[in-house]
Amino acid sequence: MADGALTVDGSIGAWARRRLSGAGWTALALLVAAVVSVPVLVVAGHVFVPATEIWGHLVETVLPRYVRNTVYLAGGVGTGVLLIGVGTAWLVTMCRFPGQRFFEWGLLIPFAVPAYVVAYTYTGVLDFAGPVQSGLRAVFGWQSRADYWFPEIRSLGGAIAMMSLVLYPYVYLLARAAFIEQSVCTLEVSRTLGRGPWRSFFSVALPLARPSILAGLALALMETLNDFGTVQFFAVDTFTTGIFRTWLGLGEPAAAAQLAAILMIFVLVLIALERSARGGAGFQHATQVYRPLPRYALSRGRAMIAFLACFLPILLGFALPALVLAQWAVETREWIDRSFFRLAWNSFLLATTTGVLAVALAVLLAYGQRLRPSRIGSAAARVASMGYAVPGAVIAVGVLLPFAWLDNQLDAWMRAHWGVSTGLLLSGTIAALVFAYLVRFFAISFNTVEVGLARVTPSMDGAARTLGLGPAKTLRRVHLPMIRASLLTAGMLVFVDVMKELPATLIIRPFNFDTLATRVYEFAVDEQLQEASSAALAIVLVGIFPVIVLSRAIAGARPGTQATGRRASDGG
Amino acid sequence: MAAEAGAGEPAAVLERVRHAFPPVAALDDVSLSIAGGEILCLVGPSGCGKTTLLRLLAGLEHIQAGRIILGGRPVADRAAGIDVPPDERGVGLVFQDYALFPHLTVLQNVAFGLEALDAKARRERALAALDQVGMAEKAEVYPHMLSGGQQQRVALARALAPQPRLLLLDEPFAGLDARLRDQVRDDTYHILKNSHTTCVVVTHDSEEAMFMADRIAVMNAGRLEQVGAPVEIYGKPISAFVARFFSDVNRLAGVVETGSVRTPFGRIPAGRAADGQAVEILIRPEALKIAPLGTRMASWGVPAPSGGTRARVIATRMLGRSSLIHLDVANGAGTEMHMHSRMPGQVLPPEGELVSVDLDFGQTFVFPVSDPK
Repeated sequence: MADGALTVDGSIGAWARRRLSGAGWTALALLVAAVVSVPVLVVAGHVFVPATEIWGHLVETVLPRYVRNTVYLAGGVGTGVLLIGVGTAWLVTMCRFPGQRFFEWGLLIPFAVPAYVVAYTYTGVLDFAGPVQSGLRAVFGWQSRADYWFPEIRSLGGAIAMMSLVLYPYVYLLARAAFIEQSVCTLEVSRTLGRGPWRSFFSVALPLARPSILAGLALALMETLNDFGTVQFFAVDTFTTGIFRTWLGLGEPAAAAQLAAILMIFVLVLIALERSARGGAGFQHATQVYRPLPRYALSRGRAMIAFLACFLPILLGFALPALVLAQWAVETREWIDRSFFRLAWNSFLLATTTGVLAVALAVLLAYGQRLRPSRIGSAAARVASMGYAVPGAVIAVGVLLPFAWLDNQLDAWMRAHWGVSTGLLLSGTIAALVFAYLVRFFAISFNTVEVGLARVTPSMDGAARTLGLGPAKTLRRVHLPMIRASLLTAGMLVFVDVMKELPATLIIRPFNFDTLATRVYEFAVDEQLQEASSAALAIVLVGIFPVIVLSRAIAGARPGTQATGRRASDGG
Repeated sequence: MAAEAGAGEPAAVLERVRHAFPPVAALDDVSLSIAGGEILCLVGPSGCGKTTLLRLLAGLEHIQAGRIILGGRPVADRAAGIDVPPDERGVGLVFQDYALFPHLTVLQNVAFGLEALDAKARRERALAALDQVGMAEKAEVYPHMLSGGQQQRVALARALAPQPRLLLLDEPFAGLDARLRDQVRDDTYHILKNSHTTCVVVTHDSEEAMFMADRIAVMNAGRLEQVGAPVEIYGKPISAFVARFFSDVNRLAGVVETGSVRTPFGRIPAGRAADGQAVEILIRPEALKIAPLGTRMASWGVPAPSGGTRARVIATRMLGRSSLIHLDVANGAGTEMHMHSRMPGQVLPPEGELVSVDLDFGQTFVFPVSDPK
């Protein structure tokens, strides 16, 4: 695999030399893309590695269960996020009812909560010793578990519910954007042709929005496959838990990589789904006429139902868990002690480093592509952006295998030539961890920076260049000041995602190095749910920031409103 | 033309430049010389390659074939592997959308290209450039607070401030509404002339080209169709395309017989077309001069009879400085042809009136039909 990467670099060098000027940018961009895509390629390459003995064992014993659970989980979460996401998006976009303006952005709030945090919280509330079952027992005089039936939260169904509650915003966000962008005319035509609001929804609005909804679904399912904390805690064996156990428990990196490779097949299906859905999204705009949406005023009873339909996801996905966490944090007293600050500092350090690097690399890649648009460049950017779809556990495997190989090579070479052993220089360091984060979250910063750069018209480049500035100075004096807001947004989004990241952190982190996320996980594994509350709460609070940015972005994105004013004031 | 003969070394030369955006050929073997201090207008329909030519001069496109020389120095030469980047060419460019930096004030925008100077000199030069375009009072304002015409002037000042040896203007007035455009165009013309800068102005508006240009280069489908002074281009178009580009024309078809071609207005010389060749005859509306029949002064104000061709007035429209008369002209073969005549002032014969039409041969052009355009 590493050989493959080297030849890619070699051809880049030859290719770069042939260009006359400004080629350095393109070469750098390709180098970044090549390095960032190594982990994914390493794992993908393991599809072809001959099977080991342990692999045969895995196939016989656990693999069918992993596949079954993963498929059920994806199916369940998919259904859940579609119902919640599309339903609420339609209600807040097309109907008028109390609180509708708040729900427009409020429905995004559960984005702030990682699935594993909701899972731990609800387990604390709903399991046998929790307040709900204790309360029921006290009221009805039941003595033991045998006396009554209560749904078991730590189950496949529970995992589906937990993930649906925090992942539906992906579908909501894209479905709502699609509904808003649809011309009202198409709906009105449907109405004048004799179809009622409901039938118009199913026969016109929904098919038109389908590409966006599918893209949102694909994103939600990618997160589902990525999840480790929830399924591990609920003892639902999926690929991520399998990779984890095979790597850390059995000490079989090759077999873990092969599990990861199979998981990648699921991921590729999702990427294909998302790409084809987004490809079709270009045909959505049937007409260019936009008017304020004529919202249906709902009767009192229906308005009540609409209110509840929008309120419940926020209550269950955010408000309730956050309140429970806050209460636990107060109860446990030691909620902000010295160890909390050490964890927070570790998380902050990792998130800041990754955020800054991710933005810098994104600028490099996007600006290189802008200077010299090339098919190779855009392909490189796409490959480098694959990581967002790849589960953290898979990336961790893909990072550690080549790093260990490099360490061994270096160590062998140093011993042969200098008689010194360097040991493990890269593996199990913060550098390896930051690299894994970069691979996973690069797409987020790249897309944000690219969108920002696209808003700077090409004549700005031309103006700066003809006024005597080289490409690097043009970037510094024209583009960067103009896209400052995008850079901040990109950095912040990556920051928050790094704070929440669990599986890759658990696998790669240096010995005895803890972050807020790993501490939450460790407490939860030890069934000390309350002790985890302050760290979990911190993660949730930090997670609110991107929600605010997203909600502001969707408020401004409506065609026909304020668009021109915004463009003038943001400065392009 | 005088400038070209007297200035010695041309300010800019393009030699056999070709450029393609596969699969489209944007420029096809273009050679052009621009004299120092002249204003050259590149005109042509959209997509004819004029903007590509401008971007090649600025260095914003990489040369694919041919050579570009600025001030005697080759800046782009495919064969020699030279391609000087835009920041080292000393060429100014005014963009169609002005491309003012929104995060900088007007003064900072104008000072942007003056990095080589120290802070004090930079400020002075930028203020002088703003003064030149009458925008000195807006120095501390941000671009989005300016009107379109003001933005255009700031863009001009920014491009002029580094004293480029060649100034390129890409459709500089296209973003302005019609009423403002004439005023800005006049101001710009005088600013450019006073600065003695060599200019290439790209426009698709033939009237604008004639207003601005010392010389006009007409482009069509990636080729230079004709280069010359406005009078020459208008009076002696080299092809039907050039003739049609600068005004509406009446079109007739004919066949050359013994060196001339028959029209309702008599035989006219066929120029370079050979006998037996099918030709098209293009007649500018102002070449058709109408007069009343008989000897008296017509009630619609045109004197002098003549032995012209008869035509019937279909409609008349007063267009301000001139009048447009729709005519049915007897073509001698028993049928009638619809033609337009443009007469200066108010010449408004009543509908249905029979008039006499005289043809000005100087504004009538004969081109072989085999001409591609």
